[in-house]
Amino acid sequence: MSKRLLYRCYRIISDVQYWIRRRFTNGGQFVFTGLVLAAMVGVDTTRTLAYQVFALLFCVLAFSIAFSLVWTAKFGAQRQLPRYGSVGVPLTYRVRLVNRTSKPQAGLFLLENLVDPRPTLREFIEQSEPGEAERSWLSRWLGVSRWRWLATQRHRGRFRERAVPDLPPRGEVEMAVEIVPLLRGPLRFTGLSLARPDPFNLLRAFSRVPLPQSLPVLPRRYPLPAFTLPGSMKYQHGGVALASTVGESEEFVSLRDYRPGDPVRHVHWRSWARMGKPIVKEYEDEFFVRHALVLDTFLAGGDSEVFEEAVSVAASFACTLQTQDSLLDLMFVGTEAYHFTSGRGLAHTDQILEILASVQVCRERPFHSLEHLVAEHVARVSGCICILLAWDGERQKLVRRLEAAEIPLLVLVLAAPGRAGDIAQTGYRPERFHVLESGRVEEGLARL
Amino acid sequence: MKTPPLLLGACLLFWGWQTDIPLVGAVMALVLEGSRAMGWRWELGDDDFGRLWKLSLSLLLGDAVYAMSVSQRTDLDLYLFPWLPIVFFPMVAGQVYSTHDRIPLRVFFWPLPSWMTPEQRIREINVTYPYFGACLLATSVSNRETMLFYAGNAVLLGWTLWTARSRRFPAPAWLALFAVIIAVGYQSSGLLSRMQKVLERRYASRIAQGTGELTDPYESRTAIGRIGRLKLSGAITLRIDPFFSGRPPGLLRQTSYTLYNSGYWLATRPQFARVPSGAYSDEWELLPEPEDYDGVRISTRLGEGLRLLAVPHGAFELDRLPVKDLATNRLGTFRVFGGPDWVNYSARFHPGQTIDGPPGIEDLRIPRNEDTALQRIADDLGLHNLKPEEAIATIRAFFEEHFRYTTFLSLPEELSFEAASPLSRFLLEFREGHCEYFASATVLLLREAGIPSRYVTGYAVREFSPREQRYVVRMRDAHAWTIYYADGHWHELDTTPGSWQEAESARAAWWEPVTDYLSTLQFRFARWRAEHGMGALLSYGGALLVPLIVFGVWRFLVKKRRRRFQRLAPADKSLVRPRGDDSEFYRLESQLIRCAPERRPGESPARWLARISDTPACRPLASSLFDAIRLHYRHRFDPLGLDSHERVQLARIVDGCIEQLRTTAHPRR
Repeated sequence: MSKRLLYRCYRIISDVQYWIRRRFTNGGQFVFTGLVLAAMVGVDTTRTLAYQVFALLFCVLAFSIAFSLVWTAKFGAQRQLPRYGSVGVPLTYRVRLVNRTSKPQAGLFLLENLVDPRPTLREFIEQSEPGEAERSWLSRWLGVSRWRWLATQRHRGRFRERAVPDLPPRGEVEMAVEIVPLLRGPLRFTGLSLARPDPFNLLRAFSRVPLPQSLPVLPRRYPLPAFTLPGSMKYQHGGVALASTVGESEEFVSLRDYRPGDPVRHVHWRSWARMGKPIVKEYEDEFFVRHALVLDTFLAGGDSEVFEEAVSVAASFACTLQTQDSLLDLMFVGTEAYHFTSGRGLAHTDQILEILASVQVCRERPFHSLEHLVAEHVARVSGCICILLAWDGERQKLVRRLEAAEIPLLVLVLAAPGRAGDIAQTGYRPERFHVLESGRVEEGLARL
Repeated sequence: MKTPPLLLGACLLFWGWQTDIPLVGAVMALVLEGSRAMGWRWELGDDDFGRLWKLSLSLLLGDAVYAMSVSQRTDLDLYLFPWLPIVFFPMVAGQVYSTHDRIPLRVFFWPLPSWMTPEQRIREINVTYPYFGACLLATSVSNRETMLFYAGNAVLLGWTLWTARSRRFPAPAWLALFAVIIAVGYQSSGLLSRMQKVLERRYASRIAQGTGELTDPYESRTAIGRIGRLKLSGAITLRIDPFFSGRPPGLLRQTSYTLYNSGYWLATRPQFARVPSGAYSDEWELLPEPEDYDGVRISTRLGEGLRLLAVPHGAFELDRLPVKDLATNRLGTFRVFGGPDWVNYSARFHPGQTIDGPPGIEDLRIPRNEDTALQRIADDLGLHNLKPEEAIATIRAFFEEHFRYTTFLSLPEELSFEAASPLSRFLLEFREGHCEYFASATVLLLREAGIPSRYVTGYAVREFSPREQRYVVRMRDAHAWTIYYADGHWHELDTTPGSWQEAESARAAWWEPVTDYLSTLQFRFARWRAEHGMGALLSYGGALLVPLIVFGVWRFLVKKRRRRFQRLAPADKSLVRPRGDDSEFYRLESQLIRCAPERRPGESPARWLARISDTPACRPLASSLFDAIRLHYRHRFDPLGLDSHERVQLARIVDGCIEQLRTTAHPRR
């Protein structure tokens, strides 16, 4: 009950903050602060003259508020979004605005409206921020930091308002807009707003244009050093189905004498004519180097920042590996066990990144479902990269099992800031084992 | 955004002028505005800004110590705020003389708070606007109530708003609108001042209750009719030192009332009028000095709220009362505005002429529900047939002989008749009560006898403190009595039996000596602070503060060997300037993007013009635009460049295009 009440309070406070931030310009916030201070100091008109400052500021602000309430201009808009965006990389796109009024519109500002980033009541109650257990009971009960953390985690894009070029009556204008995606996954726009400042530039009136659109945002990627994957071609059966051509497309190996049972279509007629005896073409299946990229999605109450870093590391590998001549099997567990293969005319890197953009923490299934998934495909892979979120017994068991199958391994364990040392000192360590500290992943990857 | 040039300087000059330190304001303005003319800047990092912030905090601490030593709780802001421009000057000077335009937010926190997000930690702020606000606030506290303050305030604010105005609105309309707002604001400020007076009058009792005052100059709610024991604390509220005769006045009056109704005394026409100060600012002459008079020195804490003085009857001059204003009304109430919390003032008095206004019809008014009882008593005493002095003596004797003082209020049921008011029952039935009963009944009986009279509240002076060697007045000494008008003057009449003082003293708590001792200490400290605060600070604190500031400045300037960066001279600048960056075409470009799609990243100006040449705004200009871009390209990339004739031609084409674009955007009617 108390959590529900607190949640309502935080929502109201954030509503007010959002309203002030959008409605008031910097000058407006300055004048408003001055008004409050002048009211406090000048409450007794016989002691100071601050009440005169108050009166003037009040009149200016009252006019601005009244002026901001009357604006009925209508606009149309069209947004030309690119196919993808990437976390942390500024994304520029174009917006075409149409003035639907018969007056010229000058001095406007454009603001994008994204979906509400605030957590739901369930999220607020169930999710906890990293290190929350170390906070005082009062801080835990109030949940202010949890609210702030959740809101930050769900804040999908950072947008700076842009000045709109002058719009002629019934005319249109095109302008470039920039947004910085902050989270992977879909970046959802609900519409855009055109802000008109008042003459004193303190408050703004808004005209909203509903324009719902979505843009997939790919995970953050880190540059990887020149890197050779463990393992090599070992007769893993890629099979015809995975080749780039349709139908049977095994590799031609040599010619040999006919043996009873050989299909007639393999007979090499020219050689028969030359040699005088039936000669057939001998084929063998295509074999590919096939790597597995195993992503651990089982985050047991830890730092979701660590999970994001793990996805980024997986994305870095997925887009750095040369997959013209090899295959990459991405394996992780979500609502069910997923296995995607890319390379050699199958899925492209973009698609793998798109999949990684939507990976979520798995809370419904146990860890051994990932182990089963890996075990299913272990016979076909020539090397394996495991990106893990912890280094506990279950994960060590998975790695031991892969080692027992004599598969070359690269194990990367993501750790919360300052916890890398604890994991590195754990007893069992496979041959290629690295601990990457959240926040310093790029540095860690450079040392691979 | 930076403050516009000269705004801070003007604000500091205004502050200096209003706070009577014009030279300090001028020097500070010169230092800040001089930065624009200086060709060098300091390279200041977080540590340096942190040091400047600590210097500002030290100055703020010094300011607070000064304010606390010379002021009281109620007017701390009046001493603290005026120095804010000096306090925060190091920070602003640091910003304007640094190579950075802004100061990192993290500098202001030590250690960094956990709630601060990484974005907030790298955020930088411009301190010039908050400084501008602090200067205005400081100026407003100087309290020179003239039109000039409002005018200066309006000019400075208008200046700020002008630079940030939206270009959507034409300048003349903006100026006209701001002029209207200035006029409305001025009217509103007058309205605020008047509103405070009205509200004070209407809610004076709540203000008095909220601030712990016993007296409200507009209305007095007595305990008449209430049942139970009256309780007032034994805290010392006044200290009295009689001089001349050595005897204290028996009663110290705070206010008087005229109309009685069901336990309430109301003041009619209680408007206050300011009293001009005498030869010195803490001297207040109320009436001409009589031939013989007595004097008394009164120490008290005025506190917040209505700030009423307790003065002896017939006070004609107040001295050593360092307040901003003193106001009195026709009911003999003294009210002070501004000034310290603790006061130690002298009152000279002579019980003849008083500042009370002449009696009016309301000073003879008797409430209808008390009329029966009063007439009955008056008939019994034969008041209607007596001369005023005889009537007064009869009333005094009547209360002395037939009435008893008690602080326990009861209404005996067996004698009660429901229609009668508590005061009538006091007169006719139970004949015991506290001072409010006696004073109210006396006033009404005097009026019944045709003598104008008023109900007065204040304190009785009766206790001499051997420890303090002066008279002390406690809260429980609060008293009510009567003044009546005879022989052209107002006279005091207290009919409460003398036993009330013993009855009240008997109620003293056993811990009262301890609280008295603490009260004495507090009083001595307050008096010391009032008498020596400023001097002590200057002699002790100042001696410490000056080397501290000198050390801080030395550490900042010398010890660190700060790197000073010279601004690039214009000659050097030209070496790095791209060729042709002075082309007039850029002016045209900035005008074009207002009415046509802007240039895309990587799009050449020629391609852009080709793209937009078909838009409604650019279609009529197409050929001129291409001429302009051709000349612009030659100016930028042709090794021979443009000759002077061609350069003029480019400028003309650009001017023509801009003019035409403006005409298209805002067609004249």
